[in-house]
Amino acid sequence: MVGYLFLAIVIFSIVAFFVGRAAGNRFVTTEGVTTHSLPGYHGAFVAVWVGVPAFVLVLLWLLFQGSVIDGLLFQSLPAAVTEGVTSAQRSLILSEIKNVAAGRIFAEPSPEIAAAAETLNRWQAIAGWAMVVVAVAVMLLALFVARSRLSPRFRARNGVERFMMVLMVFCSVVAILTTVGIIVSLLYESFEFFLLVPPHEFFFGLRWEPQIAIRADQVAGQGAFGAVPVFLGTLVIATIAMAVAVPIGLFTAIYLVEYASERVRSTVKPIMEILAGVPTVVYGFFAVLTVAPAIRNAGSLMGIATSPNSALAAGGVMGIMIIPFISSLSDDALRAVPRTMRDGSLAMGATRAETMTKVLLPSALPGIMGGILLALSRAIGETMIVVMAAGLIASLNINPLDSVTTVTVQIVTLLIGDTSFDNPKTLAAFALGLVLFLVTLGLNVIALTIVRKYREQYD
Amino acid sequence: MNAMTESKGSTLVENPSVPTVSAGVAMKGDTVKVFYGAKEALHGVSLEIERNRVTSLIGPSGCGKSTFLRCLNRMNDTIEGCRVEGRITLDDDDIYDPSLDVVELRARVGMVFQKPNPFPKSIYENVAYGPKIHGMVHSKSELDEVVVSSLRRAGLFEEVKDRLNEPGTGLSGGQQQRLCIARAIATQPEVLLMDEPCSALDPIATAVIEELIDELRENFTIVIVTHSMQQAARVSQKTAFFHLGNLIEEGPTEQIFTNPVNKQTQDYIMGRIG
Amino acid sequence: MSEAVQSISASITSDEAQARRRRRNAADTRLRLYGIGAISIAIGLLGILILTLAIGGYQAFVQTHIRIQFPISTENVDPENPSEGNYRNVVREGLAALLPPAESPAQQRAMDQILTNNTQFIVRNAVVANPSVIGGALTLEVPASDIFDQLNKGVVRRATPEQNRRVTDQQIAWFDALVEEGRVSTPFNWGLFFNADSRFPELAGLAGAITGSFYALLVCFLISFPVGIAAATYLEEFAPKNRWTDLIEVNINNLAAVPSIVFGLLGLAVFIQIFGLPRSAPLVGGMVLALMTLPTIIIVTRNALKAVPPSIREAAYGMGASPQQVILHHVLPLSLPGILTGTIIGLAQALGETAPLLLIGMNAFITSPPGGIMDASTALPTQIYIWADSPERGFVARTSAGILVLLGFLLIMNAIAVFLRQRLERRW
Repeated sequence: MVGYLFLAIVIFSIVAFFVGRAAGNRFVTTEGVTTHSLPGYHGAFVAVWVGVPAFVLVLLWLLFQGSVIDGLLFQSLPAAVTEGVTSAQRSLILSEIKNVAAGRIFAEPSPEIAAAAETLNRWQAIAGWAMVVVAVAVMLLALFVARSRLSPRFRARNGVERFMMVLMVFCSVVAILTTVGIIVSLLYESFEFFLLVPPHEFFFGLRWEPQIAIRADQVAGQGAFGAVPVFLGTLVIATIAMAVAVPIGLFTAIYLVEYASERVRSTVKPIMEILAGVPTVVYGFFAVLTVAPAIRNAGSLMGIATSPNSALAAGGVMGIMIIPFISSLSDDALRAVPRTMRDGSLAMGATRAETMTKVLLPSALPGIMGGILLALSRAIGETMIVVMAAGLIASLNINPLDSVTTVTVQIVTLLIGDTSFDNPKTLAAFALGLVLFLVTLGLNVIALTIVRKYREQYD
Repeated sequence: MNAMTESKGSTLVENPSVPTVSAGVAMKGDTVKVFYGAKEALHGVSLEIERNRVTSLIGPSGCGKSTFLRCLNRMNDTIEGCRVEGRITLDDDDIYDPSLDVVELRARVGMVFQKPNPFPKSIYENVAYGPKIHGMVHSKSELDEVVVSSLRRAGLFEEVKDRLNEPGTGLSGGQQQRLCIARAIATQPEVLLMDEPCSALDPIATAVIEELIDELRENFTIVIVTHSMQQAARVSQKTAFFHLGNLIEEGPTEQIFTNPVNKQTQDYIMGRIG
Repeated sequence: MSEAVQSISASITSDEAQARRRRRNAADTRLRLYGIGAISIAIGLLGILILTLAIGGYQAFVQTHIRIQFPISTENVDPENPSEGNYRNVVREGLAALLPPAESPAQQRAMDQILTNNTQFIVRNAVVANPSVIGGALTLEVPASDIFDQLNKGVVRRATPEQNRRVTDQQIAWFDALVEEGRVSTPFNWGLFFNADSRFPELAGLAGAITGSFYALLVCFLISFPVGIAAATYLEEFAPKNRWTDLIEVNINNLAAVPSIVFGLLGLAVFIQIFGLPRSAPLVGGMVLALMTLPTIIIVTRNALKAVPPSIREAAYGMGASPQQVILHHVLPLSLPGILTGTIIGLAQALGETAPLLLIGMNAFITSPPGGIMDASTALPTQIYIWADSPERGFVARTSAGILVLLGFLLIMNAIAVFLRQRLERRW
């Protein structure tokens, strides 16, 4: 039904286009060059007026029809059924009605439910037809009105372009809407969470055992949602990753900028791009399959107890993933230093190493720091490697050979599988997500500001 | 203020010794002021552009001659923070009137730029673009006709008739500029603005273009901004001298170059400023 | 004066100075070596990564098959209703004809393990498709079960003591007998591409994941490409420079660096929870990926638009083109190669993205390819994640093979992007 309606809207718009264009063509033959807009614009003008309002109308209708009917349906139920039900029970009743209405009957429904199901079916049919009728009426009206506005001097092009402009503004607002959506949904769910678990518990508690809290008798607030071990684990793994990535990435950039011949650069750069383009799930598999066993074997050879999912494996592989990030950002920063500074140093008889460490690196330091902060934010937000290679149990330790867990791992494990939005376990994931978002946002803002300031300095 | 009175003192009207054979005024600027942000770039210029004549605007760089030219088809609208005061008319219609569509204006007042800037499309498409977007043709054959006649009037047809479908960017600089002229006249504009059309060309190509300008005068009103006084002397019938955002003097070209009234004009002509 | 000059030149040639120069040059060499070392480590790690995947994955590209003639007796299969027959017996009879009869139920079960668990359904489908074989016999190439596949590929070693390996000596003997009869072959594993997921590694394939990824990317492209271009065009060409557009700009740059999992949370909370879209659907996955890809596309589009020289715009304005005609007729077509290149790279990133898809449930176990964007489905990276988590031995190779397929797709996409950049992009 809905599909056909959308198809009808498209067809109506096409028809409208031809109606408008025909009018435009007539103006051109009768009035000649004084016609303001090309016939195509007349067509597009009418088509936009016919198609867009109807489309938006149907979209909104579909968006709200469900909840409106749900509300009406629930009100129509006898008081005996609706008396004192919680929102969970309410949705249960509604879904039972819907199941019955759709013919999926598992047990004999109560008469109230059966009646309601019939009502629902009737209302849905009415609503569906009403939508079609309203949409078609809107389109016909729009066709009539828009067509009557056309005239030789009518500025159809300007009308169409205004519409396009609105469309473009809307598109660029999508990015804002995304951010708003992220913030609002994270804040909302986190707020729900903090109603169940006080914030100080979450931010300062030392025990993280969310799996326990799913049982009804063990309500949260008994210290099971203390996120400190999770934060600590994230920090441990991110530190290991940076310890791997920063030296390798930085030295790579130094070599590429100062020493490498054009040929070496043109081979190394694509390889770095490949390294950057490998999906993180692949790195995760690499960590589990190759790196973790290797570290474990090395550990047992040296007689050190090593966890099978050690922080070192996850962090090390994450470091590999971040190398190209650091190397390319440092490369850019070093290259942005004006050539004259470098030449000046070399002309003094400084070696290339001295030029690099005493002139280029200090000048490029803000840019490199910005890059490192961006990389850190990426390490903290990285998910797949740690989900596959790090541990699930939150423990308060910083031993890289032990198993630790991270914020992202916890989000994934808390949300994978069944998700209902009323238990603290699910909501905790959003609280963690909020912390993750704010921390990475902070790092990004600082990093981007530094990088931009730095660029301006040499522009 | 001073400059204003001086320029008034040398206009055609108040100098009866020069015969006025004006065929009517195509465009007219009345105390045109242009601001870039807070900076005033043009301090109230009044100038008449006569029909089927070549009017050249001369003056040292930064004197506002290009700014004035770009006011005539509202190309300044595309510059952010640019504001125009005063009144400019085309056939007595105010071109800054909000009810006038700038797009229509630019079809009536064409423009050729300093550097040849053909679209990276075929020669044919370059010339056909204007008639297409302004809905001036209704069939392919009509369009063909317009393209050929425009190229012919721009003196380019013979050179490119075998490769109309090749990219316009592949032509030589002089040919590219003639292509741009062909493109501009394809919409049958009343006025053709040329912003130093020869400054990027070699002397031979320049000579060709200058000859072309003279021919085009028959059908179009032309306003040309030029750095070269020789060029102004060669191609134009009327010359206006700009300096520091003021119109210092205007008059028949011959008079400006041989017997300027104003001291500044004299200095410029003699090569002492600029 | 001249003394001072002498002392300087003396200080340059003195032993002390030479020693210092040697030290300085050594430091220079050291820095260079650090650089070479760092690059070698990076390249070496990439090499190890690819080597492990190739070694681990190549075996999954072939599959052990066993050719067996199944007698389709009318006792087991009713000609009137071929889909309801006792195909378990059919399979057993087929094997019994080749191997010594089983002596105990335990041995019978051990024998059943040779062929894939789904053999009876494979045979049934073949019979239903061609009922004329009922009463006769049907010869089929059936995949061996995972453990025999591994045995055949040498992953399960015969040298391992019997109690430590998952095939018994007896089973090995049966298998060897089949090999000797020339019934065992290892053709290219088309099932990897044409089967959907399965609990049995020998049958598991990527068809579902590839289709799911395709739908998700299609949705992602259809949303992010037009919206991204429109947004970038507005910001670059039309937007006034004010606080509001600054905010949008900063916002887009930050959005590009938000962790992908946060987008997953957004998808879960908004698309699934509020809009009520189905879980695990490529539609939702594509929408989430579109939001992630959008900043990339906006940024590359703006750069491509910036690269078009202003003289083209001036020329078009001078012809009386309206601002939108200037963009639509001239600027956008000229920047299209750059935009496409960036879009393909953005889509390649989206193809490899896993975390947000996990949160919206695209890691479900689904045994048939999705029929549309609303059907539950997996995607290539989530399929890899699922397989990496599966305990069966055969899934290790399958995971590596899945990764190689994913990397193959990424390579193709990037190659197209490079091609576009080199062939079509205009240098001004």
